[in-house]
Amino acid sequence: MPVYLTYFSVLVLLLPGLNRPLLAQNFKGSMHDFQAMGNKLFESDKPCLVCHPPHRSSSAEETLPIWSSKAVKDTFTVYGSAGPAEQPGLPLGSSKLCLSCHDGTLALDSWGGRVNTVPFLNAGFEDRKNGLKNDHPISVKYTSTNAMRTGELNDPFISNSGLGNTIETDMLTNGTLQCSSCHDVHNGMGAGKLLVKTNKNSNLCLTCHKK
Amino acid sequence: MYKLLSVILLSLILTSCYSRMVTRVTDENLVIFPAPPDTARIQFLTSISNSIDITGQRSGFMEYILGKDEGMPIIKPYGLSIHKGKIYISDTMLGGLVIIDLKKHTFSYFEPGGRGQLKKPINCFVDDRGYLFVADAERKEVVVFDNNLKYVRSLGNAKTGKPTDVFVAGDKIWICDINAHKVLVYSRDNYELVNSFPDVDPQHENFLSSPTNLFVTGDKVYVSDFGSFKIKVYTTSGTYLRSIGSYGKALGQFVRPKGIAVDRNDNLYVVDAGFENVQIFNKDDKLLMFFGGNYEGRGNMWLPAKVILDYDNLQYFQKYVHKDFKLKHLIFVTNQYGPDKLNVYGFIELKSKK
Repeated sequence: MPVYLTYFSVLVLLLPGLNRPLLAQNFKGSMHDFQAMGNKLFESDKPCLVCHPPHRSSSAEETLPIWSSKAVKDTFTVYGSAGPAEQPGLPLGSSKLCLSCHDGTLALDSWGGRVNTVPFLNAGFEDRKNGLKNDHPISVKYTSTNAMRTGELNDPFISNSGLGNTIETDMLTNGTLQCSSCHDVHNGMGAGKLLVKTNKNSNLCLTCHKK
Repeated sequence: MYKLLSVILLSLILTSCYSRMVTRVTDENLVIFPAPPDTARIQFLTSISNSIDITGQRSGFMEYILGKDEGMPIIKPYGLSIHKGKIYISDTMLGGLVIIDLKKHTFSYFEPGGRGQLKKPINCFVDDRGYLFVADAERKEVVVFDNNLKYVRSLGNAKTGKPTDVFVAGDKIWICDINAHKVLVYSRDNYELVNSFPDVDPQHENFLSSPTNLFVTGDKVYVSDFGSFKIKVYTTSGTYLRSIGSYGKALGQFVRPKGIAVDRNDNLYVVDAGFENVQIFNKDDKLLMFFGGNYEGRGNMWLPAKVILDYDNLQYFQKYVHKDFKLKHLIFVTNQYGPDKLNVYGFIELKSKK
């Protein structure tokens, strides 16, 4: 590669806020590009559709349910609800989208699941019969207050994510940690790894955890 | 003699010291679908998530002696089957089954070892003899146990297959295999493979992209094809008939179709984990109604997986039915997450006023 191109690549990667979208362009050929993988798991010829349903499908019939003719809505809410109140540790929002496929049938039984009888994360998360403590928590608020309280987490509002901005901007959704905080489902870092950044020397873990 | 007496006394104390609470159904706490003013068809009856929901909580005295009973949870349920007052729930995180005896009020984990060891049981089915069939997606076999839960044998090719559901009807065992993209049909007598379908290329509309659940009636096989976002219907000999639904968020469509069941009127029930509801279609594939919905409270769902209908065990749930309704059949729906792991609904009709 010519030297000026190398310099240009480094410059682009250092530009705040630009590097993550660029990395996310690696979707084609990634683990979630079902079409390119040549597998037969999904019928759609538009791989984006598998996770991103259109607002309204033209093929849908405009009829109301026969037994529920007073129904006013004509579309369903996908992965909605926040529960009756805060449901700490239970999957919400975009994490539900991940877990709707990763249920043990089609894809790995992720979060709350195991690979070959070994839980994904061992240390401190072995209590599988408790149901919530065997994996890294998701759908939890990660605030400055939480960070201060434990003393073991970096302040998400001021700590650099290593992705161009703060942890709060780059990794949280409305201040909440989701699967997407660490996983770039569009294949951010290396085929098959689907991480937002490399975890070499536990780099990804240490973005938030002070150890 | 004293030993025998003390054992009897102890058993009496232990059995009498559990109390079960049943919340009385009133007009105010009633959860029904569709919402008024439409005619109510389905009533949410109760949910089961922990052994305490079955055994009851210890009495004050026993709690003082033994401490608070935290119970045993249903952890991450997918499939279930019900037979003669017993509910069998395949729990992927337990790596085994939860077995609930509604008659004896017992709750236990079934975690067989040795040749019967389970790893990731997705679905299960109990046949009319009480034989238990478990589709294990990690072991990649269907494991068969007899009516005393003793290992009988396994079915399938673990090198090429990955069974996700199993159903026993007539003299056949029906298995849907997500890796083979087929329904495999075995003889119930000698466990020999007797048929498999469809045998077509992926471009064909008959093809099963990701079959995850199936239901067999007298003459039809319904397959929930997660990967084509449709329910595909075949004859029991494997001839393709039609599909139900399409991809999208409109009423009657699917984004994450999972468990399916057909009632005695040929109405089809389909779980959708994306909408977190169950849609019911009539035999002409027209949408009748839907129930559940994103979780906000009782009767809603949280990443639901399976739906099972039951006509034989109504007596255990009559106490939850509103006095104005008559219970026609039960509807069980599993939730993989959330506070309510197994939702029990009743298909009801209004009692006629005399």
